[in-house]
Amino acid sequence: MNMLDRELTSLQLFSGLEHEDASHICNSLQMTEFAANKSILNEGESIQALWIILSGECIVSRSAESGPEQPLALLTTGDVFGEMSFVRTAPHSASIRAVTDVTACCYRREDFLKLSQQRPNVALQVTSNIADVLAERLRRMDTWVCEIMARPEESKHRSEWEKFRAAVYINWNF
Amino acid sequence: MNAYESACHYFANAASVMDLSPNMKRLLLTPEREVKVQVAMKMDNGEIATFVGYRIQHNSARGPMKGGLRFHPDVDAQEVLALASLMTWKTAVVDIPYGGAKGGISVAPKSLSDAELELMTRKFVDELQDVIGPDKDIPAPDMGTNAQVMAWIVNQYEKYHGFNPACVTGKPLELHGTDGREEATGRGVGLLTAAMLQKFNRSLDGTTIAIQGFGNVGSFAASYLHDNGAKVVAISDISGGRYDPAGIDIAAAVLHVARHRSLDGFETAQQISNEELLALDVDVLIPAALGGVLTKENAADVRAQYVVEAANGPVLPDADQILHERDIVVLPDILANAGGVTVSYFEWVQNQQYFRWDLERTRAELAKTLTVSFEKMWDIATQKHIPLRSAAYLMGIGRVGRATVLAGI
Repeated sequence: MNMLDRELTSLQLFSGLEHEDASHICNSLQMTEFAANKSILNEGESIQALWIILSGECIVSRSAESGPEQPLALLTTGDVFGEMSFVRTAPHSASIRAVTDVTACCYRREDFLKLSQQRPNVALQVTSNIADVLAERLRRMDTWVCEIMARPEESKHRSEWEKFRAAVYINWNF
Repeated sequence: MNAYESACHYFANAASVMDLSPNMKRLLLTPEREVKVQVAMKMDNGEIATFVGYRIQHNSARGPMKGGLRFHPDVDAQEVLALASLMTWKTAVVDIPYGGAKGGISVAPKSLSDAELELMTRKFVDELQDVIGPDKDIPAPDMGTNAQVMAWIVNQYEKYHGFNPACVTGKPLELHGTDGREEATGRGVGLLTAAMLQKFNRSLDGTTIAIQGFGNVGSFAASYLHDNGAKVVAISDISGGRYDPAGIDIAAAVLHVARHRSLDGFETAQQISNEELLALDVDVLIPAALGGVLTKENAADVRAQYVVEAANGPVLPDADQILHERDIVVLPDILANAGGVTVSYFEWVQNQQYFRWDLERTRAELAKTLTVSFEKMWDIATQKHIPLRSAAYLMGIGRVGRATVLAGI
């Protein structure tokens, strides 16, 4: 196992795997480099692959119903993305863009399906690790939802301010 | 109902007409800063006296805060807060670039010697000097204070901050005061009474007037009204009322007060009580002394067709409602007695510019400011079919509100 493999197998995705199994997966990974500011995945596209950041930083963002794109998270070395489309065929829910120069490796779903047939126990462990990643993100999502639930007060304040502005500028401006 | 509740009531009335939310009302009513200080000093006889002083800075959305300093035994935090909020609406109604504040010490100034009064004033400035100033909060004379007290204030303030005449208004002429400041509130009352009567196709000529209170406001209002053709038939002070259906010789009354410090001993056709004065059969009633003199108990006795609030808050809300139902027109305090703060503004302007105006210019500018404000208030009242007081509050709250919206919170 080379140094890169050792780095990879220490990641959460390979947690609980034998070295030989992790190394087997590493052989099917495709290394890619992205320059800073380059788009890596676009919201709405559908590429069934899991990405692992080996170096650099990426930003996750999503277009809002109105106004500019909303940044959701900053990903860094060791983080993975694309996991939702990886486990279920669906367009990407967000866009990923390189903030710095980024090196990432890509694990295609077809390689994972082969692994499931050849080494089902290993595939099960990888699936479990991906579920961990998803669970962690779901927990973070819960926190956001709580924050959003608290926002009606804030928007009430905004509309209160706008109502006041209208009162003093339109209805009662002499 | 105390002064604070009364001020809140009038504000709340206008705010509900404007359909302001409870949070916006709270924002506009809550003072920006309340200062309560100990004023401790050695009296002439060696005893230690401790007074409590207040300065409440209500709102600075439209500019540095402005308001009087009152030395009176009734001074307390609630009263000062009520008067501070009134100043916010008042400076907005006459559209001078100020916010509102008020302050004072709970003391009977007449119980102090001149030396004690000076020492107490200076000690008070020691406590306040870091929160007042020409661009922060500019005090002025009020009940129990005068130009001499303002001179001590500016002198004490300058010990900390250097030459700074604009830190206070109502100063003596010799110390950067302005000609026309002393008469300003009373003159304004007179000017506005004439402007109001004109709207009813009446002039001052032959109009009968009763004035409660013959201090700085009442006496100058009486002089202006008398000099411009009105018949002032009743005046009063703490010594009681004087009534003469043929008209009182106001110049003689002013001279008497200058000599004897009160109307005590000034003889007219009839001696009446202050309460009787309020119920006289006159055209215009001008309460120019304390607040809260017209209540639900005596409002029905008022026989005047017009009430001009020269004092702050002389008509309590219940009485205001009764007068309104009886079609008696009330010219509200936040405009009626705004002549004083308007000329205070002129004094501040002169101090900032190192340029002195003559009396004619001050009087002309005062008349212009008050007339423009009155016309605006009258138009609002006519358009919206609301009493003058509501119109004045709508004007004041609207101006403060627009400044608040522009600046943000």
